[in-house]
Amino acid sequence: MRTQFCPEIDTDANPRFPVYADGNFGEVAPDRISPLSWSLIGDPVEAGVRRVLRRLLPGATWLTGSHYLFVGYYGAKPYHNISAFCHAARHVPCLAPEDVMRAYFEDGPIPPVPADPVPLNRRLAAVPRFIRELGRTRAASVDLEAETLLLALHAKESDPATVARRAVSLLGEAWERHYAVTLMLVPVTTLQSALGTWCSRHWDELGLWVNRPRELVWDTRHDGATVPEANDFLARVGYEVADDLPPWSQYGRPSVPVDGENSPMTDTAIVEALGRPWEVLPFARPLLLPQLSGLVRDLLQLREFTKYLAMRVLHVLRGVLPELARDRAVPGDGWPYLTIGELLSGRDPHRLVPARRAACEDALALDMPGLLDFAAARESAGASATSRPRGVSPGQVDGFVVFSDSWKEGRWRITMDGQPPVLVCESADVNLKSLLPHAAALVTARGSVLSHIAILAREHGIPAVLGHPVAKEVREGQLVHVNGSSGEVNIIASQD
Amino acid sequence: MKVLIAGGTGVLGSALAQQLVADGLPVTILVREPTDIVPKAEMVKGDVRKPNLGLSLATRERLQAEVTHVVSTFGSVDLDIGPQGTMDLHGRGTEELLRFFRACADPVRYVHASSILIFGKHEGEVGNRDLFVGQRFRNWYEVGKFAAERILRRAAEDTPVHVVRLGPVLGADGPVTPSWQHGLVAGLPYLLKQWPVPLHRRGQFPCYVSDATAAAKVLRYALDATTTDVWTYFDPRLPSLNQTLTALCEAWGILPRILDVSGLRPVVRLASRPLGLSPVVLGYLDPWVRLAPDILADLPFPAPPSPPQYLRRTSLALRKHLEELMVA
Repeated sequence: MRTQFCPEIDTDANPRFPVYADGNFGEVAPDRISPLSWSLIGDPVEAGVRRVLRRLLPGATWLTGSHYLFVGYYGAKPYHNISAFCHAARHVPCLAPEDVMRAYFEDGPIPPVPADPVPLNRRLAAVPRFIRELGRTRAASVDLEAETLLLALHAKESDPATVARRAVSLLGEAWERHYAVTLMLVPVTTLQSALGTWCSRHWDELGLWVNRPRELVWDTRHDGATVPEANDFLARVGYEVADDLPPWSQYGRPSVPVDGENSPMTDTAIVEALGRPWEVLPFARPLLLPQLSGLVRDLLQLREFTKYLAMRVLHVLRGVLPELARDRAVPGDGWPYLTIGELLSGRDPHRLVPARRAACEDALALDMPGLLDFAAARESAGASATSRPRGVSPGQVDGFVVFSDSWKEGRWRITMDGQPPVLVCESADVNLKSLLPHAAALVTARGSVLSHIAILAREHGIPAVLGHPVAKEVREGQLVHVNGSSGEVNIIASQD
Repeated sequence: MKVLIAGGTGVLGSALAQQLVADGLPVTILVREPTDIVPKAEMVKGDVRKPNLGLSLATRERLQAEVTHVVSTFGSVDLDIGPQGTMDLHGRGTEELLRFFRACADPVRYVHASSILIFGKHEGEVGNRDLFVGQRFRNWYEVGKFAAERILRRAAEDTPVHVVRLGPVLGADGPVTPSWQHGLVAGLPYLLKQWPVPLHRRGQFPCYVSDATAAAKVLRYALDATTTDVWTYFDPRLPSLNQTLTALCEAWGILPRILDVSGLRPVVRLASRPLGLSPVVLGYLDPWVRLAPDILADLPFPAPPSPPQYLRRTSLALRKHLEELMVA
């Protein structure tokens, strides 16, 4: 099997960790991203994750090497290296590769990892480092927000190259913080689940309620979106900085602003009880459960917050890159084919554009799979093809299927018998956040327990099922029953 | 007056439906699976947990044009119910039924059968005006009943809602026998095996039990009341938990082994599941709630007495029901 699809733009496959999946990219990022966007995501994520793991696992020699270790870019499609992330899980106490796959990679099959056992003492030694990293991330994120705001405020008045360099530096920090929280969430939620199951036989139902974040950054930003710049950002929240240029614009995920009545929420008496069950019911052995649950909620908020910071910086770059390209004599539609390093410092970067453009055309013509296993010379549709549906936000509701495009066009108001709308889509991220207050439930074909849309659905208190095949089968207008706890979605009736 | 009863196939709801039909009043019972428990009552298939009660548009519109009174007696005393079940039934179910009632053409009165268990493990004295007194709950059933009453007490600001709080409802004169899976009767198999039950003061504390037909009369009065209020009703003779459990075992000629040995509790708790006793039931070994002594005086009519020997007749009916099940 090929180890590269488009040698001009692809990264090299890692020889020791050869399994890649589009999970946690595939459901949030555009299906294809430009080389420039890749350089703003892949490189800083790779560097950031390595820095975090070197702090958590000092002396780990597997964290070195010139190959990308944690991400990959094939056929203009971004991937996570799931074998590397699963290998990292083996170094953390109370954590197993299946926990990582369940949390972030749609519960897909576990890739083979190196067989050498990790000594227990080394695993336990990671615990205090995790705790220190948590404190460091929280404090650094506050500083990062201030820096990001300053960058956004002064972007228009400053030299584009200076702004771009500063933005790239901040982006690196933002991705590092984001992945630090993402990595820390898994062992914390695994420990919480183990303790919760021991304390209460209803923990599988309670866990989703307990981990509902109280407030996410997107809410406050949407509520306070009175200035044009804020509105512009919220309308173009995404990973692709060239989202207004073809061919990349066709892969974009535009936000969907909408007006309309919110679906009714259930009385908060029960919701409060569900969120803090140890206060309402005398749990025989609550142990660390309240503290852990508070930590999980904080981490979920922090994860969304750090992602928000990265998106803000990308949005600043979205504004300055065309100007920078003009200064560097790069054609107006050619800059997405360069990396940020080439655009900033390369000699005659415009000479690289024709070959890259051709390579990207070839890449975009390929049907890139969701799963790449370079060792087994195997590719498949990806984890989503074999993953099972997951209820990620509790509750049950009956409602009519509405697709996000219909919502945008206002056709969602057509319902039968006053039944509420159920939003159904392939995948979802912050671009659909504005629809969530108006939906009674959410069903997607892709997503994981800790994915962003799961967090958002829980925050809005609407039942959500991710990774259900029915999302690809239903027709608009069909009546469906959604159980966000058990992950069941059943078609009840069709609208005639 | 046309009455819709949600939960009309239960012990209390069916007793009320029977009384209303006997009074010549039109009754509709909202039920998940239609039966002929109360002949002459209209059975309508629906589910309080679903939007619009799971009714078709035509049925809903017809009922909202006709119904003037709604009674909620749904939700059996399932102490094993989990948080999601409580959320769906007592939370969403109450909201959906309330929404239905508010959309009726002539909404006269909504009567809700609440429970004294809404006070959970609170040790102080409580009256009809009390709702949240800082209590913690034993299980999700109590949380659900509390939340349901809270929804309705808030709705009472602009909606004619009447709440009647009851203890365990037993009796054999209604169309339905108490279920073996729920409430006090769920502990009966354990008692009949004469395994020890470690009750505080050997169960000499009130359990606020009442007969279904007497409790249904109170609901009937609530339907005719002209002011919104909160009432509490129980058998004025106030049988203790010990007396109630002893009476329920009478049909088998067995005396339950009720002890006041606190050291026995951890043993019973460990052995509960293998012995077929839900551990949740063990939350009721101590006095349940302390109601204000004159709480029945708040009723604007003399508290209806429960029929004589109703506990014994409940026991006989349960035994007969069990024998029928075994034959089947």
